[in-house]
Amino acid sequence: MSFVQVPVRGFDRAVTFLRAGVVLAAVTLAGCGPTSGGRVVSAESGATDVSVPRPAFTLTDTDGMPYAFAERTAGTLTFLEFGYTNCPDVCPVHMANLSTVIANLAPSDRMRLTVVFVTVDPDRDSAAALRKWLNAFSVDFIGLRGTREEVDAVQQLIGFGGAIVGVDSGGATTVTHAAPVVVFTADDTAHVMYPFGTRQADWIRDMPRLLARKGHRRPATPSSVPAPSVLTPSAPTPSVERAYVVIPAAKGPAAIYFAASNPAGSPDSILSVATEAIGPASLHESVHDHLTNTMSMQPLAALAVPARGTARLVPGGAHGMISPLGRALVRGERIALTVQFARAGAVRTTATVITYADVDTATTTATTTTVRK
Amino acid sequence: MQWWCAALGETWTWNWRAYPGVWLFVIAMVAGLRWVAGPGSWARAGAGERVAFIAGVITLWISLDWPLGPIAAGYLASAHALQFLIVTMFAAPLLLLGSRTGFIERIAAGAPSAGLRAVGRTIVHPLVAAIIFNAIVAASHVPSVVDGLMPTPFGAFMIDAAWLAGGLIFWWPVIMPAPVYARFAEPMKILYLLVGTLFHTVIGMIMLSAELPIYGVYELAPPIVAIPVRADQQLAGGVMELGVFGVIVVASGILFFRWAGRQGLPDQAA
Repeated sequence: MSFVQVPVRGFDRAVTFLRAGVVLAAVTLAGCGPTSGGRVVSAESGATDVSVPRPAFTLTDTDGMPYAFAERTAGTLTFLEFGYTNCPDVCPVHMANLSTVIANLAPSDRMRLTVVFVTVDPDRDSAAALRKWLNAFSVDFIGLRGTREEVDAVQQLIGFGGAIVGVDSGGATTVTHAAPVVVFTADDTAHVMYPFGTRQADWIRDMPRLLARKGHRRPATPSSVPAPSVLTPSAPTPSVERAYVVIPAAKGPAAIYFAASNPAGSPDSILSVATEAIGPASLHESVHDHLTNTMSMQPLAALAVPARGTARLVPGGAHGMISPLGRALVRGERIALTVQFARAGAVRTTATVITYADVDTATTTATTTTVRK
Repeated sequence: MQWWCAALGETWTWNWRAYPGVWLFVIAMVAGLRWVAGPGSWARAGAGERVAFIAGVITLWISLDWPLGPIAAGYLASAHALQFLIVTMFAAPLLLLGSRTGFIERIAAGAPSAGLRAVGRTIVHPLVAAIIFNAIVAASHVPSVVDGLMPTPFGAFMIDAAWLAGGLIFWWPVIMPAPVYARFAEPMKILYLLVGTLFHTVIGMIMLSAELPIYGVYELAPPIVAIPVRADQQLAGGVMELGVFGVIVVASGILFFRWAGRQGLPDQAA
């Protein structure tokens, strides 16, 4: 673990790297035991080997909604970073490199990972400021906030010390925080952390191995962070990820795309989608008429979501449609979206407003259904 | 205080910083060139030569000192390419043009020793000069060399000094009439310039086409402007490609018209 201390009154102060905790923390965390199959990443990777279960905590996302980290990211490749939007070096470099690498992944791989950024400076990082900062890298990145105590508690679950926010002798605010990106793989364990200095080439080399990592999930560590508004379901509930609303090119309906995963052992189906204050939404499917070689849209009564599988609403396939659109949409805006499942009931999430120019990088190009092993 | 601009990973600030090593280096270059040119050479030099020398000193100073120096050393690959362009393609030839009278007199007077004369003649032979210059250009753009040297003031100084030395050697056969190689007339000089800078095209193309950041020092630098790392790298490649090519085209044009003018004189006389 490395720490970075950054004076943040403008860009007029030097960055000081405090590496004192690096070796000690790495040894301590690695002491939990390396993975049974050797390194998760390649031997030449500069990542630090650790073994940290995916922690269970709930913070607030940039839409003001509770975000249960372990539940929302379970079974996915997850990059967790702690930082703050005024960070002049480590945080933006990490996020810029990650976003570049992720943007170059195959769409199917992009769908399988999540980047979560937790601000350690919640006093200055409002939800709006955090969202705006993250949108500069990717509208997909999740931003989380909490009180300093809550965020400190989350960092302690990882094995990090809490962030230190202070003021130096010149009156500049200083923030000292853990700099590594913690990577949780599909087995719900972080086997590696990437320190500052990790380059895009390192990420690209390791990404296939991280995506390919499978295995038994470890139980999440108990949360020490209050989660007042989040109920832990007794049965696995579907999750809706990568939800987008696309700004129509002209006056017309707005498309809704997302991926719905069903972790339950029995199949489920999506019955409807709904947005708040945007307009009535419904399910449709694009159908190709081979006789006339034209595409047409037909209402869809339900969309099957296989057991332990994923249904994707994508361009050219099944999708949601908001018509008529009640108001103009703004790129990067987050809209509350409710997806009604036949068995599991309603699942609420937020959809990011994107443009058609973003669609290729935000979604896959065909409806696919995958079944987890 | 740093004596030379280096990539220290610090947050960029527009507050002025002193780099005394740069000042001393520029002063030493001025003193060294004037000393080699010999006493009284400044007075005997024409106005154009003096202007060239002063312009060479100013461009060298601007390229090495704040703000371009530190930005080039640790923040933007495009600034690094611009610095390279200024040092090798502007400062070096201008300094040579500005020292021409004194240097010619010194060469005419002969070197202090035969060995020194032989070394001098060898280094500024067009073929050798081109090889030395391109070797410096190649070595100073190897990622491990850049990432290894730029974080220290001494390492960054080594690269900057090598560029200036390489630039002076490269431009010598074009600007200085001595030692005289009978067949190295203007057409050959134009060919020399074009062939001698082909390697820049290769480096520029690599920068333009690379999918990933080549240099860690710029990839991991604290952001200074809202420009993605790859775009900055491509801009650096563009500066290498177009900047060097532009200088070579202008220099070749001057050489061509000078040569054509000389060729036309006998015809006009007839």
